[in-house]
Amino acid sequence: MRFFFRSRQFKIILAVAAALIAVSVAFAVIGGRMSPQADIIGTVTAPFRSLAAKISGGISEFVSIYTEGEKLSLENAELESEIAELREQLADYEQAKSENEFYKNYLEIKDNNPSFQFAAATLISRDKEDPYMGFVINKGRVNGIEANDPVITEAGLVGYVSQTGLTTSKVVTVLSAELTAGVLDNRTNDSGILSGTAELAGEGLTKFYNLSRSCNIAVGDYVVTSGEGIFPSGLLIGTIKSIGSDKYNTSIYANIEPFVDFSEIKGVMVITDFEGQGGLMPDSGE
Amino acid sequence: MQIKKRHPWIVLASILIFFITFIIHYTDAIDISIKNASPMLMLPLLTAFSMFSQPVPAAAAGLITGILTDSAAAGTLCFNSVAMMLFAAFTAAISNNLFNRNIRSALLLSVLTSLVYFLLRWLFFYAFITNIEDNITYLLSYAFPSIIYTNIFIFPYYFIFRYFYRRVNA
Repeated sequence: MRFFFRSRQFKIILAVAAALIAVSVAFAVIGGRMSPQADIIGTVTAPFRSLAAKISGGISEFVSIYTEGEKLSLENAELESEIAELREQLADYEQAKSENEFYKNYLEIKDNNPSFQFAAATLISRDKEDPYMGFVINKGRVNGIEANDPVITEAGLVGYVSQTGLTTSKVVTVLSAELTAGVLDNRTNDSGILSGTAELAGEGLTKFYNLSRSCNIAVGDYVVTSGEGIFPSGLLIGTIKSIGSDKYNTSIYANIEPFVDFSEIKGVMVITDFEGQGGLMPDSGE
Repeated sequence: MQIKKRHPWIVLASILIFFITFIIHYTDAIDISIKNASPMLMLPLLTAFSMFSQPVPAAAAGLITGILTDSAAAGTLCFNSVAMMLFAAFTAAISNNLFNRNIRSALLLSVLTSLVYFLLRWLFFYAFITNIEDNITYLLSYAFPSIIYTNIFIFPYYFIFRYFYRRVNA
């Protein structure tokens, strides 16, 4: 063993490790870009991963036809009870009217924001060790994508691009503690900050905090981006699932259930340009 | 692998195993996660490969695997490249000089590798961006279950590479 530590081979391995650490530090300082070797390998392997993602989607669907019969019948029963519940809800005309108005507004987001420029992208790999469900998409700098570009689906806000490679980019989700966004309650206009925690991410939730005690938020309210930070205003995030008092100060917080199902994401839209892009991130205050 | 004779099919099979494992691990082809426990398949694979290799080929395999992992993992820059290269080199050196090449050694090396890997990952990417509660949650709910689950996969990989090793050295 001693011979190994004194050998030239060991010194070469250490030199390579030192060089990689130096590259890491340099790219961490620059920020927003993948390391060059990961970028090259990512670019070379991206077509294989795209193909694997497509094949895996096909296999999952094929297998589920045969293996999930029982599950489907259970789901069917659940859906029937949900339909009954929904019928009751439809009776509440005011609520239905309010929701309709909201969805109408959402559909109009694009019309209301002509400055939005989109780039469609597909998920090609998922970081399964990341509790916040980060993933990699098949578009990068050559497609005009840059670090901090917002990422959405038709359901709502997914997160933002944290690092870009030539043909691939990494996405941080709204479940992540790395993401900090200015958000507000769509009904009351009460504003606060959105950021995730590991515990909530496990339940598929994120946290809306720094809310004043006098605010009027309620369970079921929709939460949207306020326009402060890297996101344009008005992007749907999710609904308030529960409300609590902060342990460390006098403010209150709400747990948000995002509209996006992160485990089912296949395709996303990256907003590559919008009016007011490049705003500062809000201070988390924690 | 310590290849005494020419066995191109073993080299090809090894490359294929690495590539298929990577694709399975980083796409949704087969989701083998159990709640928050998500096995890091590349670690037992690399441990098993390195046990039957010399340090330099093991380090090269670790470096390539690490770069592939960095290209797919969220925000890791060169962390996986450095960690996997060093893990592979040390595993090969230890297997060649200190340990017997048996399943107990493989399990011990795999446990050590995965423990150090997940602790380093926690230290670099989670320890300083979240509060204490979140750190404890990450360690107890994600890292430790994942370490335990990861080490189950040393068994198939060990027996595959032991088979290759015996074929090469027969």
